[in-house]
Amino acid sequence: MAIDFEELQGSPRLRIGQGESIAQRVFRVAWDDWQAFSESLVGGWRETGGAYTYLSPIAFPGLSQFYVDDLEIDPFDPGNPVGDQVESVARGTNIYPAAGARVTATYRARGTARLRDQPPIQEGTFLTYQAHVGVDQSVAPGRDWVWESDTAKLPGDMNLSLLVPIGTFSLTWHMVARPPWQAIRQLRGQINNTPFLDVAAERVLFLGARVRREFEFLDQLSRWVVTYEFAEHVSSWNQLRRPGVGFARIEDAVSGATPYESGNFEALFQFGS
Amino acid sequence: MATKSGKDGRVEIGPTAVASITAWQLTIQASSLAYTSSATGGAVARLPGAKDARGSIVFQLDFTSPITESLEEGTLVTLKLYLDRTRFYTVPAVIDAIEFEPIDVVMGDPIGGKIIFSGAGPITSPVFA
Repeated sequence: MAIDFEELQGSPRLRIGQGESIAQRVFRVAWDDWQAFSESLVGGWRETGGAYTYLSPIAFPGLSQFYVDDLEIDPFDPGNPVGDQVESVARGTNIYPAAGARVTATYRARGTARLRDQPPIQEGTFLTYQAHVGVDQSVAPGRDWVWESDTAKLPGDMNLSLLVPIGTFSLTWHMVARPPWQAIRQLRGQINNTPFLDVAAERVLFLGARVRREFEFLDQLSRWVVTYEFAEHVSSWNQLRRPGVGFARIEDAVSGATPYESGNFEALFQFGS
Repeated sequence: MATKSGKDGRVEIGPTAVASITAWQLTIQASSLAYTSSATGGAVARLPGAKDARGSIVFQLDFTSPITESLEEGTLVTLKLYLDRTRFYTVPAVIDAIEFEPIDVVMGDPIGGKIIFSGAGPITSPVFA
């Protein structure tokens, strides 16, 4: 059901910057409608009997990548409260039936990523990507190395500290109905068993997830953001540098198990149950 | 049409009439919030705001029962402002000021003044039926 609203004088406002652009709109709605109106702007998932129905967020008109990132609600006429619902500190607040609510909606660009070998995701959700820098340090005994000029071996008490660049990256999954808690637990510490984001199998290590709920006031709608952290190695995580050979696969001398188990990361991008 | 003179007007605080009142004045008003929007068609629209009241009581100073002892500046009182013998406005008020008229040494007019008040809550209006 459409909610009556007015867009107030001075709205919209836009700020365009090199790093970030922001748009803002200011509305007036009936006081009883502020929550439903806010929900219609931000969207999310409505659960009914275990099934989720998607309520699409509303983009800034003419700027299709700009969505509501922040909301501020205050009385349109703060000088005219009606306090008959205030029963106690814990029960009831002022209402403003005469002039209603001012809703200030701030929009920011999503920065949606479309990546190669991207895992399939539920329609209505989207991914953002951020790459970082990391290093892995390993120590090799000097006895396995020689000086290039005269091929003399390095002293036995001299060790090499080798830095191997590690590509760490975050893949954030937005507009999630329910985080896949079980998949997160199972796959934490595992490596990819198939190519993932254009990286060969066994080269991506799943470090874990940061999960937060967005717009918690939306008690009718669910919206979570799940940020997965990964580390990408130059070779398989089940390999070490072997003198005279280069990177070679290792396994447990008794069980034959590899240091890292492998798993299918697609489960990280399916709604939890 | 039934108009009346103000000759039966008076002011009471609680059950007691305030002595030596010669006139009283009351303004009842409401604020309004002016704004424009996508829905106001290029014109200013207004919304009703909170109600308010202000007024004054003109007195002559009765030295045997000075009004200044029952209506002190800075106090909260509930005034009953009578239009006639039975109809009155009930006005919660704060006394803002007591203004004495110049003490006329030459002409010897009675000493008097004005008590100025502002509303301090909802007003109850008289029933005219």
